[in-house]
Amino acid sequence: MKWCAAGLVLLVAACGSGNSLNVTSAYATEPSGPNAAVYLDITNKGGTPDRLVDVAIDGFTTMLHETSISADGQATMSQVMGIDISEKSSVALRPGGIHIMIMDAAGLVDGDELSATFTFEKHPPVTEMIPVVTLDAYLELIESQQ
Amino acid sequence: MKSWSSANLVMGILMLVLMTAGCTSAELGDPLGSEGVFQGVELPEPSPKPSFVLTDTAGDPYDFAAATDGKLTLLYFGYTFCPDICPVHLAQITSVLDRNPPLRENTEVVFVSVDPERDSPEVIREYLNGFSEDYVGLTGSTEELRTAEEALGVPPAIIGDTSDPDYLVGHTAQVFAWAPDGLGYTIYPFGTRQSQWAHDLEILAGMGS
Repeated sequence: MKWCAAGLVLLVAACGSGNSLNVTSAYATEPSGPNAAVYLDITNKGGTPDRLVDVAIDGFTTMLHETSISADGQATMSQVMGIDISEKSSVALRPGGIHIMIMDAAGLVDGDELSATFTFEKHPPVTEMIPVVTLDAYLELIESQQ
Repeated sequence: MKSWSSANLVMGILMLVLMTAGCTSAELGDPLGSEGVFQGVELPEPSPKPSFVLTDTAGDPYDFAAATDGKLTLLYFGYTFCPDICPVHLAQITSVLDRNPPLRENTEVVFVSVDPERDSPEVIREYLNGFSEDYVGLTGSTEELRTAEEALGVPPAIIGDTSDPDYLVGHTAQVFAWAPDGLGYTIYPFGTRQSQWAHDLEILAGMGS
């Protein structure tokens, strides 16, 4: 059942807006601790590079974070101030890389929806509804796509 | 000054193995690429289980080597504030074990928090219960945690500025595994797939049980 819901959400998310910058495949994972993560794709179909400078989610504080894993296996997470998106290219936010952290999100559960507004340096803002899914469902989804 | 143990030496070699394994991918792809018996990163030689004592979520001393003797053991260092690789590792393991009750029966999953400031025993217990009430959660003082990390031969956690309530912690990203015979044959970097976990855990469970 959750697969049907995830597929439907993916289909809806893929529709995006008419902006040459689209946010698709956006999911927030149900938090295991105090914070949740959002993963998604940003596609720039236009001929101008741009930069994501802010993500605002109604009711929550968010931060852009990047997890880096060094050659010796040490993981560090650090805040990033923006994400560059080259012209005619995509950026994927995935586990173990760049992600959006939703602070104090412990109350979020599978089935909730979040209104998120993505602000870019050049393109107009993009607002998307982001579904909250279980971490299991999200991991199964991205493993199935590989 | 502390001397290097055999575990440190093994881990030094392991770092080279990891570098060639290309474990820095942000994708949940195939970071391992092993063609040996295991699909995890195989150690150059089997490594004995490290010995350290921390405190479990009931407040009792937990002697890692003694408490996990004879069991397939998975050990991970992380912290509950992290919404990214820490819960992903635990979710992957949980999903595999949930599908194989006999395997789960003799597997001990041990989570060591590297964030003693925020992760009280109660916080760790609540966090782990989201995955399994059977998982063992451990904590300790900064010095005790450092001793455990040294016993394992991994770099110490790097704790951010704790005056910032949203401080972050750097920590080793691999899951360490020991078969029931008490020896470690593999480790699992971030990005290990559930199919790879399922493959290796079945093999490891049969070694020395």
